[in-house]
Amino acid sequence: MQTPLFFLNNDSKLLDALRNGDEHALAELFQKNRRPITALIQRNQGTEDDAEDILQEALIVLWEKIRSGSFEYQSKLSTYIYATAKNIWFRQLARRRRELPATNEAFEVASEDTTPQEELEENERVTAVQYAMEQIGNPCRDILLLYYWEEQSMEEIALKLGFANADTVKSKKYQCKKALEKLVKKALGGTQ
Amino acid sequence: MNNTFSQHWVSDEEKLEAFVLHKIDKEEISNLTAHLEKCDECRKRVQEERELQAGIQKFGRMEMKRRLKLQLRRDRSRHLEWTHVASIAAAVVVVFSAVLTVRWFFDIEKEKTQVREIILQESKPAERAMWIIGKVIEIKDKSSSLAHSRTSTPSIAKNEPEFRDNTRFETEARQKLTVESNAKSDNVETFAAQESPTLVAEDKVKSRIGFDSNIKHGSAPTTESKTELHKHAFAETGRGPIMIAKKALKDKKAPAVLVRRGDLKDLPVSMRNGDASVIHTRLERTPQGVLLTFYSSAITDSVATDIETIAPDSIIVTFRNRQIAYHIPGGWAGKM
Repeated sequence: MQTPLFFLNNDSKLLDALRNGDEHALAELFQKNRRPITALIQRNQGTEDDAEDILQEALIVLWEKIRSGSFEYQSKLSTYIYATAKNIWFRQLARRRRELPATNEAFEVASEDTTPQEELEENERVTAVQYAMEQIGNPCRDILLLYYWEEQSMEEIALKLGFANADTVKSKKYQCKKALEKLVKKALGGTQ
Repeated sequence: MNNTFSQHWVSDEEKLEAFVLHKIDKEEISNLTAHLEKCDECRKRVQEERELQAGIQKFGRMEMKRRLKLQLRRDRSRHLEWTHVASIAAAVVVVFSAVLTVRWFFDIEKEKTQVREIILQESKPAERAMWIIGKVIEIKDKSSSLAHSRTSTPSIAKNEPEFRDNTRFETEARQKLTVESNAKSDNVETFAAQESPTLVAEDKVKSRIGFDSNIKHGSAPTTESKTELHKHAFAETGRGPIMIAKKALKDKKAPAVLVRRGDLKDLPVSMRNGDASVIHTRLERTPQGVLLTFYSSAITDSVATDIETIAPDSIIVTFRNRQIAYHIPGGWAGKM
């Protein structure tokens, strides 16, 4: 990982905090980047509310990158956030112009060669999973989030959630996944 | 899911997850992808896994966004709270400063009326009396100018502004006293006796003598001394020791003034200097009004026979052998 020295001091503390899962660092980054992002969005047909929303999404992208270990520190955090927010906003604007239903632009997962019909069905199934996640209790929710979203290793999850070892987490995660699939099927009315 | 499908790589749950999570190296990915192109069932399974993971991730993002919004709202309200507290603190400081400024201003005023403040603030029922700054502005030997006593009163009243010019007549009086220093025990009496005949006819200012008593919180006369005083007064006059000359002042707010001669024994030791030229005065509040006690060897009578108000701040007290014009700065009402 490249770590240019001249902004290491400014960002290193925040990066460490984010790596350790400290969500307060996100709030701090939000405040630091609010003005430039608001200016960007307002210059490009957006409102202050749009700016807040886009900045939050950009910060979550940063969070995911850092937590999954795929973040490469090549520029200042503010530069990264600005670029990400800009990207998300322009994609959203393009989608609005095509009058397509609003989706979460930053986190779109649909395959490239899908028809609109397939995309709608896919979105419906994804929504069903979200609903199932709301239904499922802990520790299943935390295990599934840590593993599939934050992409933590079994050892890290065991440490964080207080399980005896990685094997215990692995076994528990399997059970949780099956429970979630059941809930999804139920939510979709057994069509899956 | 059939038996043949179990032989496909997608039946390996860990591999399937890793494939969707892009946690497999590029070479293996191309192999697995090549297999998917031939296997519809496998593609469907991968798609299900992808949707499941997408749903979980989306849920995670939404949850994080919700928490972030909550955190920001909390930070904002904390900031507002801090601003609110800071505003209140600033307001308190401003009000406090204003109060201090006003108090400082009135402190300056208070210095000007120090005696009054002491009396008002420190007088307690048990210790009402205190030594005050009063001015005996004229003592006359009544026996040598009885006729003059009544006629002189209006003239003093007319000249009231001159009473305030205490410095001048005090200086002159002291010079006079120095010259006549051989009159020791009854300095005032001698002086007054000599000067009285000229008082009306000649320059009155020259004849005035001013004496300051010190401001001292004196203890009230002891019971024994009071009893002695009472006995003495009854024996001499057949009346109470305090001649209640209830002459209410013209100002309705002013209390009645009661005058008596005090026993020198009641004076604090430090004030018993034997100097007859000094008349110590003591002011007390009583249910009947203001009680003014003169302590001086120049006054031999224990009770006053008359009190006349000549100004809101000045009276003439008549003893059998003496007339004393007495002035209290600020007036009687102000003192009590």
